[in-house]
Parts: sequence; structure tokens; C-alpha cells
Amino acid sequence: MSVASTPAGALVREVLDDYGPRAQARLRHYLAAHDDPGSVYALAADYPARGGRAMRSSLCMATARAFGADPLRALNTAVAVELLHNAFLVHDDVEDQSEDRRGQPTLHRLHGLPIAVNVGDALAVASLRPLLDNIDTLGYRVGLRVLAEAERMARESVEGQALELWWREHNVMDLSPDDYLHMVLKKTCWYSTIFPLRAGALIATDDGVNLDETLRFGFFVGAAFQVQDDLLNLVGDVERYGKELNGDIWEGKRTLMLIHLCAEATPAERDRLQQILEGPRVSRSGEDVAWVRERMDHYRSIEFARALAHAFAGAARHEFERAFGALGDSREKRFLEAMTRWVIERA
Amino acid sequence: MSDERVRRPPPERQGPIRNWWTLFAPPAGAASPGAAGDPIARGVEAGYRVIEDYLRRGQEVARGVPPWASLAGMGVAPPTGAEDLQRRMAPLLRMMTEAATMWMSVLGASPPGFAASAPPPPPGVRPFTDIEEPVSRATQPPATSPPTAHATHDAPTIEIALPGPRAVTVSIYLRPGAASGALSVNDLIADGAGGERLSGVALIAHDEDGRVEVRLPALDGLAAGCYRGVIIDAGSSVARGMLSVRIAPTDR
Repeated sequence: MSVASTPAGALVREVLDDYGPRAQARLRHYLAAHDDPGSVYALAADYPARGGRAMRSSLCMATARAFGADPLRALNTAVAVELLHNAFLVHDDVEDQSEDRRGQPTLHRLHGLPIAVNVGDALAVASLRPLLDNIDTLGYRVGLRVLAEAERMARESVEGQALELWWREHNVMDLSPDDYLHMVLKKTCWYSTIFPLRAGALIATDDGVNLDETLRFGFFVGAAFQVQDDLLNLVGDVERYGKELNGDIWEGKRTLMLIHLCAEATPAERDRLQQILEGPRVSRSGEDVAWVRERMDHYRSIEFARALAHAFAGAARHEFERAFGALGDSREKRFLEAMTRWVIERA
Repeated sequence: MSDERVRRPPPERQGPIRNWWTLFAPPAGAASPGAAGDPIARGVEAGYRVIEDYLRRGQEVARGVPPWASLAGMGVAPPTGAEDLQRRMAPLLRMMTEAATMWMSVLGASPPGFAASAPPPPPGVRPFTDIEEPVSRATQPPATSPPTAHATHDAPTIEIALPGPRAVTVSIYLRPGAASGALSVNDLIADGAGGERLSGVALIAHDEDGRVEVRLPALDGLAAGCYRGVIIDAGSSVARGMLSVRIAPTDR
């Protein structure tokens, strides 16, 4: 059964299909505004043009709608987070030495490192313009509040990425699920779920509600989303996933499965694992990656992570009630609820 | 024949299973987490530990700049809960006195139910005599039922149509149990890119009988459309419900 054929999947798809194209059209407007010959913005439009679900922008606008506002009030902010998301993707691909993105070669493979880094910078800088345009549409007070939230989101995200890079650079092996979740909270959740939710609520209510109520929900949805993403990297359909399978093992990423394997492995296996993870991607062989993957199967690390993803989705479902239970029924409120299931059903 | 009584073996489980595993169906092929120390429960606990620690640290930072700290050294004591509530409510009450030209008392005596009929208007205020009868208390969930994961889907929305030169429909959705606290409502914002505002809407919770009174300011000059705002707890700003006012075009 495909995810779109479940009620939650169908609703999420419907809302993403509704809001996503609006955000993408607006995003193209911001990039096209500087579309001179040889401009960096032509390359900046590459990743957004490859598709993607526009989950973050849709989440932002849908949250504004769930709180009773016109979703277009959140459009600029939604575009800003989508631009920043693409900036992170370009830079992440460089840092992770990734091969493919959305079914095509990564930008640095196509154009080289210097150009890819600069394109990432351009996308990050471009994300500031719609946030400044918020001043016109939302007024100074709310516009600046959104900007402050965006600054916090960007800071949390780069700190989370720094944490993960540090673990890989120093070949840290003694990590716990707590460490992983702390990293995911900062690296993934803030810009994927927490900020879109907070910004949508903030914009809809003129900064009139307690935003901390959305933090727990955003965290658990984001954590389930990230664990599912890590799982798809191991067991997903490469055509639909758009990235190389086992890429995270090649890159030495500290996923929940790898952390579980480290904890379960015998001392001898752990030593071998440490040796394999030492050094850059090119130092690992296909045989190394296959061994790690086989040990994950042996210790049922994938089942462990999948079960935790379900558990986080359940916790998110619980927190949904606290964060959004007071809102009247709407398609967008039901979409937020359906997200808790969709994040673990998507393929 | 043995004299020993036949006894059941002690049950493997002696308490309810309380974990998130049971909320969704377990993934195919995955082992039940009930055994081996329940890694699922530990995982969710780890999640809460991380996020609660994060929130706690945020609160500590926020406490670094307490609004009353700068006054403490000058002999000014922080307000008590009641004083704080009074301070918060004072501008609201003043605004209502000045601006209110229509009133409605729509919510019932005991949370989470709503009253079967509106109480008499206060002296000197002309009520709308043709307010539709609010939803009967009998249709409400029992007051003792705890909020469940699906409670809000069943919670009532009260809708009141006010015919006149400019027909107005007021809808209020209030979370069960919310009527017992001090409430306020954010500015109502109209649909559409312009986002015209309806300010000055007030909610007054009457603790003595649990009513919540909704007061609207004059609607003259406001464009037709649907204005929506979030009802919040006046102390914590946590969302408690939603209020919408739909104003029909003048020439209707």
C-alpha cells in the first residue's frame, strides 16, 4: 500500500500539493529577480527545480491557516525556510561528500566545490529577502519577531550540523540515543518542523500565543522524520529516495542504527567498526560498507530504529493535542495531525 | 493425592502497558518492545529528556532577565497572582466599557459544557433578542470525561447568527475545560492578503457561574469577510480556542 493511499498520506499529499506549488512559484520569483547571464542564481535554482515536497513551506502556511489566518500571510516566511533548506542541502552535500541529490548528481559533482559552496551561500543570502519583505506584509513588530525566530532556527541548525561533523571528524563511538536526539533537535527539527510551526502560529496570531507549546510536537515529528530518512537511506527505493542507498554508511554518519550497532557489537566488531569509520569517505570500501550493513541486520538495528521512529510519531501525536487541540477543526489542523503518521509511512 | 493447592503461575505482566508502541501499529517484522527492558519506552523517555532539558535551559535564559528583578531592589514587590490578573484584565475591562456596543453571553455554567440559554443582560445593555439558542448541554460531552486524543474533533463549536443591516455570524470554539480560566482573544484578522483587523473583542470569564461573555466592538466601517482570532489563556498565552466573526456585505 503506497503512502498516498492511506488517509493520512492522502491528506498530507493534498495539502502539500496545494501549498507547495505556491511556495515554489514564489521561490522562483526571488531567484529570478537576479537572473542575469552567468548569475549564481541560475545554479541556485537547480536544487529547487529538481522537485521536493516543499514540506517545510507547506507546514508553515498550513499552521498559519490552522490558527485561523490567511496562509498567504506566511508565504514569505515559507519561501525563506525553503531557500535556506536548499542552501543547507548544497552545503551538506559538500560536507558529506554526497553523490546524488533528488535523483541527480550533487551540485559540487556537477560544478566543483568552489561554485557549489558559493551557490549555497547565495541561497542562504536569498532567504533574507523574503524575511525583510515580511516587514511590509506583517508590520515591523511581527516581521522582526519572525526574523528573530529565523535567526535562532539558522543558528540551531548549523550548531547541530557542527555536532554531527565533530562526531565524524573525531570518530566518536560512544554515543547514546540522547546524544543523537540532541543533535537531531538542532540539526533537523528546528528548520524542518519547529520553525515552520512556530512561524506559522506567530504570524497567524500576531505573536499572540505561547510558541513553546509547538516545540515538543515539532521535535517529535522532526525526530520521527529524521529517523525515517535515515532508514530510507538503508532500505528505501533508490528511484523514489533520490539518494544513493547506504550513503550514510559511506559517509560515516552517526545514525540511530549506527549508534545501536556500536552499543550491541562485540569488542572485536566494535574495533573493526571504529577502523572502518576512521577517515574520509574514500577510505571506506564497498566491502566495509556491506559488512556494517550486514551487522546492522544481524543486531536488528534497523528494526530498533524503525520502532523508535514509530514511538516518536506516537509521542508527536500526543503532543499534537497539547499544541493544537484548542484550534477549531480545519483541513490544515487535520494535516498537522496526519503529519505524525505520514513521516513514518513515507517511502 | 497431593494436598497442595493448584495455583496459576504468576503472570508475566502485572501492570498496564503504557508506552507509545501501542499507539500505532508496530512496524512489520519488528519485535515487541515489551521484553528486554522496553527500548521503545526508553527511546521516548530519552526524547522527552532531551526536549525538556532544552526547554529548561531556555527558561533559565529567560529568567536571566526577569521583568520584576529590576524593581526588587527598589522595594517593589512582584505582583501576586490576583493582582497580576487584575493588572492584565484592567485594560481589557476599560476597553470594553468604552468600545462595546453589542454583547453576547454564550458559554455555559460549568466547563466544558455550554449553557442552554443566555443569562439576562446586565442593566442598561440592550441584548440581541434574536440570538439563536446555543447548543443544548445535553449534546455536550460529560464534564468528567478526560480530554482524549480525539476530544477536539468532538468538541462543540457554537455559532450565533445575528441578522440585521449587516448580518453577523459569530462562531466560538473553546477547548473543554478552558472556560474556567482567565481568557483573552487576539485581534481577529480577516481572510485575504490585506488582513484587516477586528480589535477590541473581549472575553470575560465569570467564575461564579462559569459563563464566558463575548463582547464585540462596533463593527461599523469594517469590510465584509471572515475575521478569525485565537482565544488564549490570559496568563500563559496558551491557545484555548478560536473565535471567528463573519460579517456579511452591507447591501445584503
